[in-house]
Amino acid sequence: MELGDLEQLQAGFRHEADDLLTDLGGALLLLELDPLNAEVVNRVFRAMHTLKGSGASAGFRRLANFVHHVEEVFNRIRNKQLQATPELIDATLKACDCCAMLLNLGSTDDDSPLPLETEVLAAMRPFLPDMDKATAKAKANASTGQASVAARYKIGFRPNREIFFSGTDPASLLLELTDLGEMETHCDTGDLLAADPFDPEQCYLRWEVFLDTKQPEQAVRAVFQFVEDDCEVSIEHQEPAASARTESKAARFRGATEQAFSALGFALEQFQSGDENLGLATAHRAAQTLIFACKAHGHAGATIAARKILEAVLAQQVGTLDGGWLPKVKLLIEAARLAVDSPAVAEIVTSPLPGNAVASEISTAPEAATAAASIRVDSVKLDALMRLAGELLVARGALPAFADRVEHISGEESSKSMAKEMRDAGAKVSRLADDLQATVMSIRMMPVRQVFQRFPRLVRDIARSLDKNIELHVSGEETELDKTVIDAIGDPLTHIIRNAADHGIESKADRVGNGKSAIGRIDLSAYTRGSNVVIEVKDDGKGLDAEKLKRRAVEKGLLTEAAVAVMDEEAAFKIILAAGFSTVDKVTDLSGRGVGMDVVRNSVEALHGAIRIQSEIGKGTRFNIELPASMLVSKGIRVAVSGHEVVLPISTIRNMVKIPKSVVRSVQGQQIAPVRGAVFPMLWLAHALSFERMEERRAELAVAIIEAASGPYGLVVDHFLGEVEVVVKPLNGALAKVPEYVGAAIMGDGKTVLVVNTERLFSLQRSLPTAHNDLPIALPG
Amino acid sequence: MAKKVLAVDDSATMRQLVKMTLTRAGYEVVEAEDGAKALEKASAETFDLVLSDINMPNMTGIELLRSLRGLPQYKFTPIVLVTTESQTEKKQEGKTAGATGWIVKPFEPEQLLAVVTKVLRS
Repeated sequence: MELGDLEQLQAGFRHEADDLLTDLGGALLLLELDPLNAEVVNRVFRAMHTLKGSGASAGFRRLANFVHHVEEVFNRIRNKQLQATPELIDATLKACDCCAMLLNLGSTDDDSPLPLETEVLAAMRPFLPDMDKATAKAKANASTGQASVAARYKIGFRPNREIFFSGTDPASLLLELTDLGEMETHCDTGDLLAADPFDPEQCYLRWEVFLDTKQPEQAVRAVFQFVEDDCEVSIEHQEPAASARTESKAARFRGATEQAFSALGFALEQFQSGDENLGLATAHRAAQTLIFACKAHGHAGATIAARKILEAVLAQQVGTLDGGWLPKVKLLIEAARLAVDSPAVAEIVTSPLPGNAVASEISTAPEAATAAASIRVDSVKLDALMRLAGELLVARGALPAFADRVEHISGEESSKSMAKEMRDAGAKVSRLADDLQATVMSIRMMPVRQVFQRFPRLVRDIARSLDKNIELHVSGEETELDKTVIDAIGDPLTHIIRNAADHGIESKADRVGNGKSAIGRIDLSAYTRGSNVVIEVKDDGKGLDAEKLKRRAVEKGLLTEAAVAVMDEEAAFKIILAAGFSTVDKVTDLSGRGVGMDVVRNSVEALHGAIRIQSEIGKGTRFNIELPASMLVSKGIRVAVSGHEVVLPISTIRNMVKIPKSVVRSVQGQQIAPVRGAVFPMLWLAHALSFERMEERRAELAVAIIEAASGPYGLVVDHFLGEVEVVVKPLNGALAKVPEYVGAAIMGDGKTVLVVNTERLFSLQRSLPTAHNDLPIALPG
Repeated sequence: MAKKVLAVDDSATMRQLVKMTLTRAGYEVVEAEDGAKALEKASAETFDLVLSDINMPNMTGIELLRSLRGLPQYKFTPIVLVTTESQTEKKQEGKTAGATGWIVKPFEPEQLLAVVTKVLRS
């Protein structure tokens, strides 16, 4: 193989191996739940098998050797010699990690085993009594080589009568022998002459060959390697001997029935292609052969099934049946096949429908999904395409305006019709641009399964290391999200789930002591809500204590007494998302040291998403993350503020209300107002964006209640102007550093409007030293 | 005219290896990723040789072999199974179902070429 080829092959294998390891991990966890599920065992085995075979072929010998041992264990499970115990699955999961490491090592010369490799093999050893023997054997096989001396061989070759049906031409084998040396061939045609009736598709000849060669006997045998088991082949060094191999009775039965079945298949082909009489004649003979074979084998059920075929053929031959013969006989053939394969099936053969399929409990859908035809595309190219589609969408807006101008320049009929044509063309471009954008967006959409599939393993590992019993229930894996979101959401979700398993779910003893089931439960689900996707992590653990969180936040100097006083419960829960906050005194190595949960807030903010936390002491906690399904086009609310127009991302808006100005109060320098029964801190958008505040004469304030990670707040604007769909582009240059904005939106008419960073706006104000003194308005009353 | 080979394997790496090796030796190679797809392709056009893995989803190599042998145009066509040393029992099963031969994974490109030349001889 050329060098470039090998590199290409190895790159391809790395991709394939990644997919295989992911699938393997999923299958192993399924297997842990249902250790006797043969379908899953087979799936695990198949993945390892491919990993080994393809790995070795692509030059990853070390990986292949390693997988070989693990595969052997699963071969024993498949043969029911072993059971898939949790310990074994543990070791196998580690083996998967080890495979990933070996994959990264590539084809290295360094043979010293990795520590994990040694550990996994040691764990596997009890399940593989023959492990050392197998290694020794492999080594012994590798070193076989033979010296060659000139010799004369007498070769007897009597092909199986059916040899043509195995795609083998006996003449080609004789030709191959001529490559080895000088030879003398005698052909025995006795059987051919005696054949009655003569079947041209059978082989009646046999040969005797005397071969002079310098090749070892092995090379001579190799010529017959594919036929030695079902043909009579004798290779003698001078002396004659009689060691004809005979097929086992079962193999003969199988061979004979298979032949009959393929003849039946052929007969149906003939029948279908219009050669009805010929087809029926062939079917008649094949059915008779089948009956004979089944009877000789003493297989009563199959004999009955085969008779039914013959009966049907006879009925058709004498013309007593009409139209539906073909499907009926096909059913009968299938039934006979089933009967031949298993004596136990004989009973159901007489029932009219063969469809007694037993549905497997565990779906094999993920496997089917990975088989879907797909191509890998660099996401940078997709981004570029998406940007172009967005720009086309904006550019189309110019056409109607241009048409208006044409119309206004002169009122003549010709310019009117020209304007109309222009508008029509514009409308068409609009539709196409919309379609194009929708298509590009759909290409970028990926099922959350990609992220979700890593969590069963995570939860399992945490549960085992902490001696907890935790079930993870996953739903909505098909829900689609933009690739950017998929890529970014993995880390925060890992933190939330890790936190739920580590801190949320109590120890077995505590759970039982509190009258709960010893088995903890975490639900991970995804679903769409409008244009957004909601990902929820719910645990049935001990829940969050709002008062305790507030106390800790004050103790740690993260928040002031005043700030926590006005916090509602949900805002208090969000304290756990603050940087440097940890509620657990004993730090575990799993959930880190108080870092981690702030990653959640930062990541979700960066995705323009919103987090809500609900919790009840003793019952559990629910994290609700709402994300825009697509990053590039999102919905916003246009608002007017001090004569300017800006956009608020809709994903952070809980609701929009009008409140009387008179209800606003000031508590310890913070403006607050009651809205629908809850009290919110208020922020004037004009002030936050440093616009000159217009004099407000209205008695009512337009307020958007914003869901920020630091807690909800009311954002006071001048007017709400309506909902828009916008393509948000990140700001660059000096503007990129202005934290008040997340980007610029290009409106349908091409106008650029800034998008406010509602998520951070409130906390930005609080961090300003003057924020408390420089209030935007005088206190009423 | 170049002989046409249908390479059936659920592993893209294996298909790539087969394709590289045989294409370079002057064969025309068509790939299929499982038995069911292979059967579809084999029904649409005729191949001089089918080279199939055994353990595949949807339809195994043995099932594919049986189905192909049921088609008149593949009654006598060489069909080679790709096995591994751990599947010796599969050789017999494959043989009974009508396999022409087998090649054991992992193999060197030369070994593959030797088997293909052997069964396509005549």
